[in-house]
Amino acid sequence: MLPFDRRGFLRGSAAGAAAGFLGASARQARAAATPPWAAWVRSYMKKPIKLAMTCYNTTNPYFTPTKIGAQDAGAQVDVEVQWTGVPDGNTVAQIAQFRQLVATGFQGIAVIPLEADAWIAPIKHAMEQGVVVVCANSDSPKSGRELFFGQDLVGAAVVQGQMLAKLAGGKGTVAMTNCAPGLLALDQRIEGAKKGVTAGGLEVVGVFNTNPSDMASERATIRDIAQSHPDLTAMMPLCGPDTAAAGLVKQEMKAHWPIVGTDLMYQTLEMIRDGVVDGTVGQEPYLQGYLPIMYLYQRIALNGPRLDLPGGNYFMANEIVTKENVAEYLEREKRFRG
Amino acid sequence: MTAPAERTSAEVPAPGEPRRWRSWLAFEERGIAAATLLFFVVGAVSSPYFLTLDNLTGILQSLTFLGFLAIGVGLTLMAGEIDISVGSVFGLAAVVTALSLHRGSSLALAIAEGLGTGLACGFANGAVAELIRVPAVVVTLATLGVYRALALVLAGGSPVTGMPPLPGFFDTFGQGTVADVSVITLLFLGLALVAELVLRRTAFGFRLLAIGSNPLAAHLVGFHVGRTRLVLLVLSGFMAALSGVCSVAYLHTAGPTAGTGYELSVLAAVIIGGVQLTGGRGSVLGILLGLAVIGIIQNLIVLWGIPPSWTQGVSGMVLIASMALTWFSRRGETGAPNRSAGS
Repeated sequence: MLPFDRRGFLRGSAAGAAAGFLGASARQARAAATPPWAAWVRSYMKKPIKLAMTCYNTTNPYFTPTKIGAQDAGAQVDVEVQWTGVPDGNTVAQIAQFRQLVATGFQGIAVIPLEADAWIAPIKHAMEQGVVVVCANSDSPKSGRELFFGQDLVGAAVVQGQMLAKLAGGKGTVAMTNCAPGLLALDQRIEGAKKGVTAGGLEVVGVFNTNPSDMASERATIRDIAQSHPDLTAMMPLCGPDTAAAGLVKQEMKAHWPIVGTDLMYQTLEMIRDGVVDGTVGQEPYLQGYLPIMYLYQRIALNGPRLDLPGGNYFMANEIVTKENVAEYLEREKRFRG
Repeated sequence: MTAPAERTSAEVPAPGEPRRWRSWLAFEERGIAAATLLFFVVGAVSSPYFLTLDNLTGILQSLTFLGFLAIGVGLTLMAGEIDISVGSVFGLAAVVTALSLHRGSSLALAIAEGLGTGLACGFANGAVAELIRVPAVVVTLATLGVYRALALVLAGGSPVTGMPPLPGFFDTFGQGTVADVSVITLLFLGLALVAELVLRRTAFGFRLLAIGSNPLAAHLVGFHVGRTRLVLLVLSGFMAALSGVCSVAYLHTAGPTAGTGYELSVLAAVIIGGVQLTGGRGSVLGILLGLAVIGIIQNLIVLWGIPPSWTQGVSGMVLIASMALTWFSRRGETGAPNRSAGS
């Protein structure tokens, strides 16, 4: 890589940050034509910049905005961004793909890992080869990845739990759902959720596993939970598809328990508007795709220094959506509803 | 159904043809070898990265875990039985090994527990099939769910993590390489060689193909059909467990849902590799070639940047193309198309 002085980097960073800000705030905007500075940056590089994002469970609708965010970032700075991954939770296959990306000249890769420990060796190996690796959405902290772009999951779930406990009147029982058992992100979310609801006076009857790639199975599981706990006073789905499924089951069973769920699936937002779901906590899925690619671009194309953040975490804001503010989210997320 | 002798007759060299080629690439394998070569050339032409050492060893690595399973399933299929529980045995053995390590057991005990799990699962499959006189495919369809449930219950629904530091197992074996080829891959290739030699050069190999070709005739000439099939199902369980144990070394963790869907990928590789679905014909070399086609396709999907939503569709279409190539190659050899002869 060619040397790049600090002033040059700051200029480039400013340009990147400005572009990032525009992209994040104006989500409807499609990428513009190749800017002249992108060609100028490219002329400094001896080979084309190749970035990739690899994701587990690509069929989960949660990742649609993430994918679009990554592609928007790539289009804005005119670099190739390959969105790849596995449709399920096959870590062996995802790691094999990741190794192929490393072997085929991708200089920067954003990983959305399922099993944190399984990624330690592959990420370390890739970074030894000079590839810049970051994690998004879920983390593999022991891998030495440069940054993690995602939510402070414990903190967000505490807020979510407290909100639900308040809606339930501070007493009774709550059931939680987990669509990715063993995923570090979900473990952290469960930890925070338990803290939040317990502090608010609710008792947790259990955390039940669901299958996010099959909505029929989701609904059946949540219906079973509700039927086996007739005294339930609150429902806390900890994944996006679970939240929508819980809303559908609540409608179907004409139940009255409050639901404060997770993520910004369009169906969930519509149910908040209709008063079926009481609230949800979003985690900026679009930016979880957009920002890692922008960061990789700045590190690789502009030769920028590694960001030194506490714990290597770039936390996204908690987006608390209720009936009062759902209209703006319905407008914003329209693009990703498929 | 084809007698094992057919393969032997196909290996007789034609005048002027090199003997070694004829003996090591049997009739069925030449088609899949041609398909593999074709995809290899397509890969080399379409991507400058395809022929790099890192990429080629990466392809090998990506096939290794499926490969262990494919040897066991392939040999079982050659004897006329189908084991579809291997994906679950893979996951269960991995969980048992990881839990044992997590508890603080010695490495040898943990590996023995993992491999023992595979042997027990295979024995249960074979014994039940023999006892109630049903095809192994029916029994393993049931145990596919049973073994998966066991893995989920033992692991408490979550991956087993927090392994003790065992550099010999996790670093030297799990991540180690010899000449850039993974140690686990070398183990797989070694076992494949042994399996091929057993199949081609031993009485057991002949018996296996004879039973797959015509179990009644094999029984009448005195072969122990039930016992041979039981041994093969135990072997299949062992290979799945070995793959599971290796995956723990590779991943430092064991997910109870690991290996889900492997049975179909493995069957695809085995059938593409020329093993006849009704038994009696096939080779480990063919299975390796079938795996290679799948590995190259998966690699090209990444190299070509095909979106993940298309991945399975593209894989399927290319696999149909590879089978068509095999069929055309066979047609050219015999001069007459025969759909029923296909595996």
